[in-house]
Amino acid sequence: MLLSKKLLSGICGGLAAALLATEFAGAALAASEPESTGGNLIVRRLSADQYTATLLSVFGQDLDLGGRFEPDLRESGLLAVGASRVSVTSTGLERYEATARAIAEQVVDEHHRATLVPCTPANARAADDTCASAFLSNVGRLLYRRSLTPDELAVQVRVAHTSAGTVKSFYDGLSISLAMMLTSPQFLFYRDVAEPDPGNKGGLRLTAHSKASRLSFLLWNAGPDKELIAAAESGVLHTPKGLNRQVERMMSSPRLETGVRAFFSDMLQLDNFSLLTKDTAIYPKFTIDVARDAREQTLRTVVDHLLLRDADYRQLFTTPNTFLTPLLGTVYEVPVAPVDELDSSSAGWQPFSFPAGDPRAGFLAQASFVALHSHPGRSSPTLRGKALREILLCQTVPDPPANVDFTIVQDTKHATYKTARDRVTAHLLNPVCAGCHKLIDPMGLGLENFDSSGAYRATENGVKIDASGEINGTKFTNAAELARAVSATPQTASCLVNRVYAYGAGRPAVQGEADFIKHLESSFAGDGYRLTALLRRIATSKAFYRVAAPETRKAELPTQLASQSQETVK
Amino acid sequence: MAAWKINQDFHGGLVRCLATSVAAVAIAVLSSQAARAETRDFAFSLFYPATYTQPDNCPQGANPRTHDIYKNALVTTGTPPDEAERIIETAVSASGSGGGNAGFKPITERGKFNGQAVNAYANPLTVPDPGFKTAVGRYALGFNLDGRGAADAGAFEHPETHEKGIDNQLFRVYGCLANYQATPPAQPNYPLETWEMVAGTMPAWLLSVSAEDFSKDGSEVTITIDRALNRLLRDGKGHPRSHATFRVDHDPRSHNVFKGKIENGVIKASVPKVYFMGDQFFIPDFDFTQVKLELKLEDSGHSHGTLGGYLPWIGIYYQHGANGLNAETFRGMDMVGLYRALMRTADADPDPATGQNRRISTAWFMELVPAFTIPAEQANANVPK
Repeated sequence: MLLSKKLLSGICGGLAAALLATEFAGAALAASEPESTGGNLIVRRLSADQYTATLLSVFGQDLDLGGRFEPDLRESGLLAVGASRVSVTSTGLERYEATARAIAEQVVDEHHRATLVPCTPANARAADDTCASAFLSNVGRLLYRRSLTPDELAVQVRVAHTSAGTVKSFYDGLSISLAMMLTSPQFLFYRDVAEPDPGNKGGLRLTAHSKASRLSFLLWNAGPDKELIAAAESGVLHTPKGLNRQVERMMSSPRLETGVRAFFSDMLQLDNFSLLTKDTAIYPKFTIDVARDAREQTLRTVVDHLLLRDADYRQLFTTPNTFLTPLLGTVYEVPVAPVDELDSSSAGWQPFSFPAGDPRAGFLAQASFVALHSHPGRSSPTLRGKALREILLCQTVPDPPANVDFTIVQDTKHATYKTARDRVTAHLLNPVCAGCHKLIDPMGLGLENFDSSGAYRATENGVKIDASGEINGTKFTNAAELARAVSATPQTASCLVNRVYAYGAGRPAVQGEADFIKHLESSFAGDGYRLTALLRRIATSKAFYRVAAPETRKAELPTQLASQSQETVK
Repeated sequence: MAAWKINQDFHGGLVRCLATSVAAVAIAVLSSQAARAETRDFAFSLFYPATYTQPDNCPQGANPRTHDIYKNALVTTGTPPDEAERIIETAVSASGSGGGNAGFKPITERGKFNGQAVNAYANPLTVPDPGFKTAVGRYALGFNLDGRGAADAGAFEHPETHEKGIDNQLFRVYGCLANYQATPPAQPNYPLETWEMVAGTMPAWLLSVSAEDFSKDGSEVTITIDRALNRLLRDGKGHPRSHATFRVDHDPRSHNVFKGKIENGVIKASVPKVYFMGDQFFIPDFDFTQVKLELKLEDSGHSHGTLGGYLPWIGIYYQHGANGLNAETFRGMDMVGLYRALMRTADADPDPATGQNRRISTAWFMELVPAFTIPAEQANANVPK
C-alpha cells in the first residue's frame, strides 16, 4: 500500500472533523444534484481482481489464491461494464470450483482454523452444526454481501454435516460447504435489486444491500465489509448522514488504493500487459519483468498523484514525478540504483522526478502507454493515436476495413520511407484509409520519439524524428507539448468522469442521467479535477443508486452522454 | 572589549570576505571547467585474454585433450598403460552415474612428496613436467609493455600495427589450448564461458572517462576504474544490459584514477599500476603493473578496447588450479603442465632470491556498456542525465 502512515494518520486525525463537515457538505451536494432517472438493473460477474480482493479481505492476506479464471470482457472501454455481459462457462465453473476447493482447504487447515473458524467443534472427527452454523453465517454474510437467509444457511450447514459424516472430519466437511459457497452464483455474481424510493415518488432505488455492494466495489473493488453491511441492514445507509459516514470511512481506508488501482487498471487497459510481447531481437531490454514494472509504474504514479498528493487529474499527463525500478531505469536510460546491493534487478521502487524539459514526463511517455500501444517490432502512431482517443478521450474510432494493405507501414526498413511519419503519410494516399488515419495518426506521431519498448530515440533509420502534430486544433512539436495539449483538452476530464461513473454503475450513463453527468463534470472542474472529490460526489449522490422505473427504461438510450464522449471519429 | 570585538568582527569579516571571494573564483573556474567537461560511465560487459591464433602457432599440434591428460598423468607417475585405462574408465563411469569423483583420486593425487601421494593441483611441482605445448609464431595482440621493442627477442609483433616487442606471454601459454584458440572477431570459447559465469555473480567493474572534449585529438582524459557493489543485469538476449545503475564500492583497493590522451580517436593511457578485485571463480585479483590501455568510444555509446599489463602468474594458475579436476576434465588443460608453462614464460618481476619471474605479460580485450554510477551511500539515484 502506498498510502503512508503519515497520510493515514492525517486522514484519521481529520476524520472526525470531516465527518461533521461532510454531513453538511453532503446535504449541500444532494441539494444541488440534478434529477436523474437511474439506469437498468444489472448482474455483474466478479472480476478476477474482485474475487481475489474479496477473499483476501475476508480470510486474510496469507492465503494462496492461485488460479486463472475466464477472461473478462471489455465493453464501452471498461471490463467493469463488460462484467454484466458475461456468464460462466462449464470450463470456467471447473476453474472456479478448483480454486474454491483450494481456498476452502486453506481456510480450515491447521494453520488458519484457529483464527478463521470462530469456534472449536466438540469432536473434530464429527459434524458440529452449531460451530458450522457460526462459521458459515459469519463468512456467508461477507461472501454473499448480505446475511444468509435461514434456508440458505440450513442448506450450507446440512452440506457441512453430511460431508463431515462421510469424510469423518468436521473441518473437511466445513471446507466442502465453504467451497460450495465460493462457487455459488450469490458469490460469483452481484446483482442489483431495486425497491421503491420513498424520496422519489414512483421511482426506484437500489436496496440497501445492493447500494452497499455498488459503493464497495466502486471504492475498494471488493465486497462490503461488516460495518458497511451492518449500515445496510440497519437502514442507516439510506440516510444521507449514514451514507456520508460510510463513504468517508471507506475513503480514508488504505483499501481505497486498491479500488483506485483497479479502476485505472481497467480504464487504461493495463490488463493487456498479460498479452504484450516484444521482439527480443529488436528490443532486448523489454523483458517480462520490464512489462510487469511498467504496469506497476503507472499504477504507483496514479496512486501517488491522485491519492497521496490529491492532485489535479489532468496533471497526470504532465507530471515529472513517478516511480522506477532499476530495470525500468535501463529502458528509460536514467539512473535508478538497486536497493539490494548485489541484486541489480531487485524491484526496489524508488520515487523519481524527470528533470525539467525531459521528454519523458507524464503518463503518455510511460511504457504502459507507448509500449502497450505498439506492435511487437515497431512503434505505432496509429495504435497510440487510437488509444489516446478511445481510452483517454472516450471517443470511438471505427475498426479498419478488412482489406487494408499494410505493406508500406510495416516496412520499417523501407528505402524511401525512413520514419513512421513517412510510412503513415504514404499509407494516407489510400483514400479508404485516410479518413480515420488523419484523425488518429497526428496524435500518435507526437509520441514517435519513444520506440515500441518505450525507449527514447531521436532518430529512426538515421533520420531525425518529427514529433509534431495536432490535437483538436492545438498544434504541438513534441511529446511534452502533446501531453500538455491532452491535459488541457476538456474531453480528458470529461472522459474520466464518464468512466468512473460507468465503472461504478456497471454500465455507461444513460440519457436520463445526462444532467447528472454534466453536473459531475462541472463539479469535477470546481473541485480542482481531484479524483477523490469526484469519487466522493458519485458515492454520496442519489443518482448513483437510482434505478430507472420500467417506463423510463424503455426510453433509455444506451449511449454515453458526455458531449465529447458521444463523438465517433469519422 | 569593544575594540577587540570590532577588530574581531573586522578580521572575521575580512576572512569571510576573502574566503568567499576565493571560493567564488574557485567555483567559477571549476564551474567553467565542469560546464565543458564530460564524463562517460561504463560497465565491463566482457573481459577476456587477447588471442590472435594463427595456423603456425602450434607446429606440434594442440595440447592433449582430457583422456590423454588423464592417461599421461597416470603413466608418467608410474601406472601401467592398461591399468591407467581401467582407472579412467571406472572413474568416468562412476562419476557419470552420480557416483562422485572418488575414482579420480589416482589422477588428482598423482603428486608425490616424501613418498606420499599429494594433490597435484595444489602441489604441481611434485609431478614430472608433462611437456605442455606453448605457442610460437610472429604475431600477438597487446602492447610493448617493457619498452624494449624489437630488442625483445621473446616478444611478438602486432598483426595490425606491426609494432615490434609486443609483450603477451599469456597468449603464448594459452595458445595451444583448443579452448583458447580464436582470431578476432572470433572469441575464444573457454574465457567467454568463464566470463559468462562470473559476470552474473561478481560485482561489476566500472570504468569512467572524463574529458574536456572527446572530439578533440590530443585532449587529456581522466580514467577511473572501480568495482561496483552490484552485478551486471542481463537483457532478453542474455547480453549485459546497458544503462543500468551501479553503486561504486568505496574499497580503495579497486579504485584507480589515471590520465590518458586521445590519439587518433582512441583513448590511450600508460600507468604504473591498476588493481581491481576479481572473483574466486576467475582470477581472484587483477594486479596489473606497467599498464597500457587503449579504448575506443563508439557512436552507439558503447566502448571497447584492450588492457595490458603484467599480472602475477600464480593468480592466473589459481583460476584453473583451484578446481583442477574440472579444468582437466571439461577444459582440457593439464594443470601441472599449465603451472610449469606459466613459470617458464613469466617475463617480469624476478624473485630476488630465486630469479624466478613472478609476473607474466598479458593483454585483455574488454567491451563496455554505457552505465550510470553513483556513490555507494547515495540513497536515491535521481540524478538528471
